[in-house]
Amino acid sequence: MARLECRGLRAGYGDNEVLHGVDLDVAEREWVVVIGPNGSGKSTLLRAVAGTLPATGDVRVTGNSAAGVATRRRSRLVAMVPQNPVIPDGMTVLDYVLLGRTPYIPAWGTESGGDLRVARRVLAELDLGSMADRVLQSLSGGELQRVVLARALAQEAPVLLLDEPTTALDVGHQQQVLELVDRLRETRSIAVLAAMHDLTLAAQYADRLVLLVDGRTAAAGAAETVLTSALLREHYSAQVTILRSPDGSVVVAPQRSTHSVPKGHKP
Amino acid sequence: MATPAAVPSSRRRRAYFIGGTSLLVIAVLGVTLGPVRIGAGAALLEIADRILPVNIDSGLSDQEAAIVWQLRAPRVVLGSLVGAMLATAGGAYQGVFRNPLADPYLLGVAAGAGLGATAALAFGAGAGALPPAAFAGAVLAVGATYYFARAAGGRRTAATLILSGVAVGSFLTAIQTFIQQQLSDRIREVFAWLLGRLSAATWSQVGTVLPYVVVALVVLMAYRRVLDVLSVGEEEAATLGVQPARARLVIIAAATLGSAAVVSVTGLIGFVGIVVPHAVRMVAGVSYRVILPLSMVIGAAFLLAADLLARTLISPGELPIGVVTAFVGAPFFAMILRRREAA
Repeated sequence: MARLECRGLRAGYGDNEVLHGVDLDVAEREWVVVIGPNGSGKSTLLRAVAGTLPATGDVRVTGNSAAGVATRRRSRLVAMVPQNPVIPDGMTVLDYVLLGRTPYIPAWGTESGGDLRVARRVLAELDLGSMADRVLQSLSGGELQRVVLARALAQEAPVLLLDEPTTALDVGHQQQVLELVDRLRETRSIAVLAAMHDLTLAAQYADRLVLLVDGRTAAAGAAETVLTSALLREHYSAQVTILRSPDGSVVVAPQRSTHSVPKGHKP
Repeated sequence: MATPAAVPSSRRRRAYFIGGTSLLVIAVLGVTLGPVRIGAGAALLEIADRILPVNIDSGLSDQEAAIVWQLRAPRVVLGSLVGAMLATAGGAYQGVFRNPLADPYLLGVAAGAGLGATAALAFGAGAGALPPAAFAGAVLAVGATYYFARAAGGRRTAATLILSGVAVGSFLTAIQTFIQQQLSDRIREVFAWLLGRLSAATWSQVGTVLPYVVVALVVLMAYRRVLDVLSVGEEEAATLGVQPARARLVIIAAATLGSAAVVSVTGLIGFVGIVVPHAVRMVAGVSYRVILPLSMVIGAAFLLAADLLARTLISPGELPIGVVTAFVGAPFFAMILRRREAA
């Protein structure tokens, strides 16, 4: 049984349906990456799974329906790292991570000692222990991304959603965050569903890729079968060469159009 | 602005202590000072005599005792309730709308209460009809704001609500101005009300306001952690298990009912709802778990201090308290702002 099962998932904004019935499974400890051109519905898919958009179709987490359950229960099943998290002015790292405990805190109550222990453990796990009392605005981009991840982990949900987790980071920090997620899905036995733009990074870390085009699944499977120059030309209108890195993973190299001519060179 | 540093908990404890102590001291001054000087000890004994089920002789004459118990004590109690309510509601509005300029009057409470009071006067109602009319006007105005924000369609966001509030407020103020023009003989009464006053405070006013303020403050205090969650925006709050629209409705309803109740009795006292929470934020940090309770204490102390000045500065005359809150509050706020920038 898959950890996360989506069947016939439809969602959109107002009358504009963006996602037209998507089926998707993610197993325990599996990492599935959704790719697709801009506007293909990647973020919409994640929002529909997280329950922040009204959606129809079935979403199940460990076999139990997550569709239609209370927001509070849903957030114990699915945690989300948003693409552009709102960083509240002046909040400390620890207070921010404690927000992840909200689904466990009674509506009129505040954090218990147990909640504090969970937050501190997550901070330690992500090498952020010494930053607990720092203010969010004083962190670097890479540190901030780890703090947002820490908040999601504090939810202790079996499914973790990542929306473009590395967009704003340099290559070193991209790698650091992705390695971290790779380790966490093992140690915490979580199912990871991520939307990513960088196809080479997606191929390196994903167990499976799902290519989403116009709100429908255009292709799914291992990186070698989804990242072909024919499929990428058809759906991204991109000219690419598919290479292999020394460790065997797929590298997508964009190719420059042959008829364009460098400046200053007249034929 | 420099990167804010985390606020150590010792500073928060000190802020609570200073806020609580000043509230007590100012409250005692409130029953002591005035055209008739009454010793703090005797005044406290007189109050104890009235409250406690034992007989205590304060040594005050009947007239002095009446000044303490009938004039000054209700004024101090009403002033604390009003200050606590407006400051807490202001903090809650700022949190819900994630907007530093939000105050309890944002969604039409002021315009609605103003129209209600003006209309009551226009229809020849006596002074006793002003509070219920103002309260009804305030609640109806915020209800209309909600209704139009919803009728605007799409997703009910905080921005739609604010815009709807601006539209409703302008519309009601226009009607109010029109009625005032027709009513030039009684316009002084309207203006006196609009500027806010505690001078006519009675125990029965305290009794009118108290249930609303208690319920509103209890609800807002209970939601102070939810306000922290809302600070990451509505969508993220939803992934954390909070229903933003419902939380917003509860918080706005509580803040509005409480503000409408105090406004209906004391008129429009400005500035408290916006300045006190910001001053607290600068001293004690950004968490609403601290901002709301501290605003409650310091709002009460601030309003009592303003009232003390209002009735002593040009004694035996009195200044409108709304003038004093702004006149004293603005420079005070500028001072905190500067100190913080320098830090």
